[in-house]
Amino acid sequence: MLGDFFLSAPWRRFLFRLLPGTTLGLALLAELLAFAADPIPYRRHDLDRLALAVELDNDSPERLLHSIIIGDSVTQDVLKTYTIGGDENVADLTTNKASGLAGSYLLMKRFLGRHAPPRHLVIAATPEFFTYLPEGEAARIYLRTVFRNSDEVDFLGSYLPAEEAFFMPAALEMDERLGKKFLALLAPNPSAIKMGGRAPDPGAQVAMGIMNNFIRDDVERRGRQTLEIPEQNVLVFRDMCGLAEEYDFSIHFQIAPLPQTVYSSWKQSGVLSNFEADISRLFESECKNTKVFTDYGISIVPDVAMRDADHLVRHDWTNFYAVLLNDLILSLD
Amino acid sequence: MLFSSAEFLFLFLPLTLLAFHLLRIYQGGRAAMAATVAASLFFYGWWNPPYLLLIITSIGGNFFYTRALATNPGRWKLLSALGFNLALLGYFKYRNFFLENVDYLIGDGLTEPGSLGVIFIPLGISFYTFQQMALLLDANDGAVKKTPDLLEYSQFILFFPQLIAGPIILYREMVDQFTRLEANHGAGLSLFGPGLVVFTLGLFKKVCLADGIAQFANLAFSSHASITMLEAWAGILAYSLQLYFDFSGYSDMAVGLGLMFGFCLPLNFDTPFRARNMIDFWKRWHMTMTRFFMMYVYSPMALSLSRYGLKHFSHAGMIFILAVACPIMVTFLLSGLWHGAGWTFVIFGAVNGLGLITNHAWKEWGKIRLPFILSWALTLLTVLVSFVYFRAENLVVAHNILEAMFSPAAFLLPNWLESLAVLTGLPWDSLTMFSAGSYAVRCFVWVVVLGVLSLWLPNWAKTYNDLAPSWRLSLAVSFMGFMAIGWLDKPQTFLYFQF
Repeated sequence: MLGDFFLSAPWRRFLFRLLPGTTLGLALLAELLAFAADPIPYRRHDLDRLALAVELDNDSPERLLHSIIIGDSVTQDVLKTYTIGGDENVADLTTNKASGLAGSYLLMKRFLGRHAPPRHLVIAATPEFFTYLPEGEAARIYLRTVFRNSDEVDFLGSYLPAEEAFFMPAALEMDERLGKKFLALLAPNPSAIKMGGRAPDPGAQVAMGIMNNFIRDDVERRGRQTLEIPEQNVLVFRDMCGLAEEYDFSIHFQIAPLPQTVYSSWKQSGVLSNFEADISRLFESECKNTKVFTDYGISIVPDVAMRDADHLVRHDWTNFYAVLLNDLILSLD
Repeated sequence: MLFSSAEFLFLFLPLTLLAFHLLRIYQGGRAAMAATVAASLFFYGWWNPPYLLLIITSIGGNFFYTRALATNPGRWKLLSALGFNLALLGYFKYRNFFLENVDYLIGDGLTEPGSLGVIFIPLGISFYTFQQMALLLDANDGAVKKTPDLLEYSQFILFFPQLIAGPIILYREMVDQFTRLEANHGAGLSLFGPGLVVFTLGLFKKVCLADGIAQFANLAFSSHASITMLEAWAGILAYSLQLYFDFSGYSDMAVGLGLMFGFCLPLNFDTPFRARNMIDFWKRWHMTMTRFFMMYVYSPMALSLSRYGLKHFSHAGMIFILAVACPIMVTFLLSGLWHGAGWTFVIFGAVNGLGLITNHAWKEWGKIRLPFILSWALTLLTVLVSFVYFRAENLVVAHNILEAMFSPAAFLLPNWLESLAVLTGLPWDSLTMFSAGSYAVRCFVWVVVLGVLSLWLPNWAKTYNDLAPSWRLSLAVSFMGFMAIGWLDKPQTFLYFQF
C-alpha cells in the first residue's frame, strides 16, 4: 500500500472524506455541548468554589456577622490554617491577587445579597493588592468567567478594558468549555466558608532560618516595585464604601507584614509614604460617609520570615500574622 | 520557529510541502531537495539569523572533510575533522561551563559581566554536530557507499524536521532515500496520510500532555526549598512524564513531517516507561542518541578494553570492570555532558551509568530473577532519581528535591487532610504546592492519566505502516488536532531545544 508513489485509495478517502467529515461533525457536537454546559459554574480554583459557596450558602441569613475579612493570598494562607476572631462570627472571603480588588468587591457583594451584614470589614492584604489590575488571561480566569450574574457582568464591563469580541469554535476550547464544565458537574457543591482549625499562639517563638538566594532576589525585586493605585481600583473603593454605607459597617485596614528589605526600600524611595497618602486621600474623597480606619501599624518582619517575596514561612511567621489579625478582630467592638 | 507554533503550522509547513511536492513532480527530486534546504535554512534562521553563519560554516567544513575522508581515509585527517567539530561544539556549548568552573577554582571573575561574558548556545548544535561526526567516522571506515554531493549533504544535515532536536540520523539510512528521490522513485505522497496522523499525535502529546503537566513540575522545582515528600514525588513524576511526552511528541512530529515529505526517519522512543530494566530502558529512550553513543563511543572502547583485559587479567570481576563498567560509565558521563553543559547533567549520566552497570552485573552474577513488578519499579526509581538532576537548575535544587523524596522527616500531610492526620497521628501542615486540595487532586489525576498513557498510548511513529485509515482514526486525529490547535497560544517551548 505504502509503496505507491501517490496516495492510495484508502488514504485518499481518509484525507478527503473521513477527516473533513469527522472534523466538521466534532466541531458541531462541541458547539452544541458547550451551549448546553454554559450555565454550569466552574470549579477550577479556590475563587470559583468560594464564589459558588457564597451563592449557595444562605442557611443563616438572620445571624449578625462580626466581620468579613477580604485580602490576598498572604492572608488567605493564614486563614486556611488558623481560626481568627475566636468565638466571634467571622467570614473569610480572602482570595488571591489575581482577582484583584474587584474580585473581592464582587464576592462581598454576592455575600451581602444572601447573608446578614457584618459590623466590620477588614481588608488585610499586601499593598500590591490595592495597586494590581487584572488583565488578559488573569481577568478572564479570575473575574469574567467567575462572576457572571448580570449586575456583575455590568460592573466588570466598566472595570476591565473591553474584550475583543471574536468567535472561537468550542472545539478549540474543549478543555475549558466542556472538560472543566464536566468536571464541575461531577464535583460536590462547595460547603460554607471555613477557616483553618488552629488557634493563633501569641507565645510561640519564631525561628530565624537561612534564606536562600532565590528568595532574596525575589524580595529585592519586590522592593524595587512602585505602588500606584489605578483609577479603576479607586472606583472599586468608592463602590465598596457605598456597600459599607448601605449595610452600615466600618472598614479597617491591615497591611500584611512586610519584609525588612522591602520596607526599607519603599520607605527610602518614598513609595510607601506616597501609597499611604494615596489611601488616605482616596477615602477622604470617595468614602465621606463611611467609617474607615486607616490607622494600622505596618509590621516589619526580617527577610528570613518570607518563603517568597510575599508569603510568610509556615508556621512560625504565619502564626505571627495570625496573632496580629486575631488581635485586630478582637479589638473591634 | 516551533513545530507547535501557528506560523509553522499554517504558513511554513503548508508552503514548504506544496513547494516540495510541486517541484518534485514538475522539476524533479533535486529541485525539491534544493527547496527543502532553502526552507530549512529559513526555519533555522528564524530564531537567530547570525547562527546561520555557524551552521553553514559547520556544514562547509564537514562536507570538505567528508569528501576528503571518503576518497582518501587517514588518521590525522580524521582527527583534524573531529577536532574541527569538537572545537565548534566546545566553544559554543561548553565555553561557559568551562569558564564557570575555572572561575570557581581560581576565582578569576571570568564569567563576570565585562570579562569574556556569556554566549547563547546555538540551537541543535549537539544534534547536527553529532550527525556530521558520525558521517566522518563512517567515511573514514569506508562505510559510505555513495559520497554525498553538496545538495545531498545539506539535505542530510539541514532537513528541518530533524534539525533542531533529532532524531539523530545516519547518512547510511538516508542515502538510498535521497537516491530514489533524485531518480523520481521516492515515496512521493504515499506516506503523507500516515505522516499527518503521526504528526498530529506528536503535536497533541507535546502541546496538550507535556505542556499540561508542566505546571506541576515547575511548581515543585521552584518550591524546592520548602517542599515535602508528597510534593517532591508528585513533582518528579510530573516532570518525568512532561519530559517523555515533550520529547517523544517532538520526535513523533519529526517522524510525521519526514513521512509527509516522503522520508522515513528513525524511531526515537519505544514506550520507555515499560522497560523492565535499565538496559531495556536505554533501548527505548532517545534511541538514536543511544545508538550514536553505542556505535561510536561505547563499542570501540569496550572492544579495545576487552582485548586488554583478556590479555592482562584472568579475574572475571576485573574483566567486567574493564570491558563493561568503564566503557558504560565513560559513555554515560559523556552522554550526560552532551545533554547539557552542567554538573547536574554529568550526574544524570553517572546515575544512569551506575544503573546500567548494576544491571549488567546482576545479569552476570545475580542468582535470582527479580519479579517483573520489582525490576520495573527499581528501573523507574533509578530513572526518576536521574531526572531530578536532569531538571534541577543546580545541585542544591537537586539535593533539596532528593532529600524531600527520601527523608522521612519531609513527610507531612496537607492541612486539608487534617482530620486524617489527627486520626492516624501523622504530622500535617499547610503545604506550598498542595495548599489546595483541588490542585493536589488535579496533579494526581494528571500524573495517573499520563502515566497510563505513557504505557498504553499506541506508538504510531513505529507502526505507521500498519495504520488503517478508518473513521475511528479520523475521529482521533480530529480530536487531537482540535485540542492541540486550541492550546497553541499557551506558553510553550521544547525541553530538548537547549541541547
